[in-house]
Amino acid sequence: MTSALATDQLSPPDSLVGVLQAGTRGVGSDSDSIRTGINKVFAEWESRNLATSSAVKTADLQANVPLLHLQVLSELAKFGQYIEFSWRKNIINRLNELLDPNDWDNGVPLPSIESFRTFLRLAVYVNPSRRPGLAIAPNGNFVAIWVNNEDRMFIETRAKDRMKWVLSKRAEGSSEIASGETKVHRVLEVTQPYDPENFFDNEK
Amino acid sequence: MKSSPIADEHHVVRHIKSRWMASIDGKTIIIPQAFELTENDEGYLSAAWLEHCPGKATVQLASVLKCMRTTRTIKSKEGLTVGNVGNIKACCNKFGKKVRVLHEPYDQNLAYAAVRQYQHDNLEMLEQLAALDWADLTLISNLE
Repeated sequence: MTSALATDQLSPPDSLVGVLQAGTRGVGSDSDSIRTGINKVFAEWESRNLATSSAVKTADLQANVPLLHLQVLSELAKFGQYIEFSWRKNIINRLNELLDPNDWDNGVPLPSIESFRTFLRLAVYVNPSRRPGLAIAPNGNFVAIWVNNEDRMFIETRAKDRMKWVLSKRAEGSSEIASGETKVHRVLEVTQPYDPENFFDNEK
Repeated sequence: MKSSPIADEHHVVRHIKSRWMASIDGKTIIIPQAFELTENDEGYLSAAWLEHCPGKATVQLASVLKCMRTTRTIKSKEGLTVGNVGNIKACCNKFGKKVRVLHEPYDQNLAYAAVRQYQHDNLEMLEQLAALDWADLTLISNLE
């Protein structure tokens, strides 16, 4: 699904205040990481002369990515106190890479805020000690990635807590692949036959 | 120009965007969704025929990159992944998709190839492609 961003609903100063307030609420030094991320977005924003422009076209995908980046950081700030500091920092760094406006061409689906929100809910619900990698699928959904030796698990998060998962793992000398669709609160249950701790638990 | 089937023992190359992969424990992982059809794929999976270009494997890959770059922007942090045509066909066949892998050259890209009759509705098939059958990834930075 293409999630075109309604830029006219996002006033930069208000958004900034909101993100900073959310980012500093009860999370201590994490606010520095959030600020760093926001400063990067604003630098990009200013370089494109968008900060005061009310004429940003939603069709201009490269121009929208910095705005979307800000929204994503805002979402992260809302969940900040539930996700460990070093992991949040890694997520921010990864978002800086994934949402580099120079890597987004017009005509492709924008990253989905709803998908990112579900990723954060998954992160809080599972709280894996093995932190996942993060990528973005061609349809704009975020994909969380766990790898343990040859075993791999991918969870594509979608709007409203929905997700598609697929995993491949070595078992008795051959490779097994399984997949399914579920909601965040069911992920441990539906992947139970495939030993999800093998992916989520750093000690395994 | 006329299209023709690519032999099973040959290889095809797919361009992998940086956001479709992640570095985990020093290993670069391609997500299965990298083999989904995109809006730009027009119903078939875009690729390039490796053996169209002469030379050793790395020289071939560098030549394929040059062909691809005539029509699309490919950055240093992105990748090219190589798969054996026979293995790709067998993988798709295992999941009930009888694909055709064709060389479809055109003026701007003489190495162009397409995987036709391809459907991406099976995530397990995409994972097998990403993990095994179309998984020989080279970062562009290593070809420049």
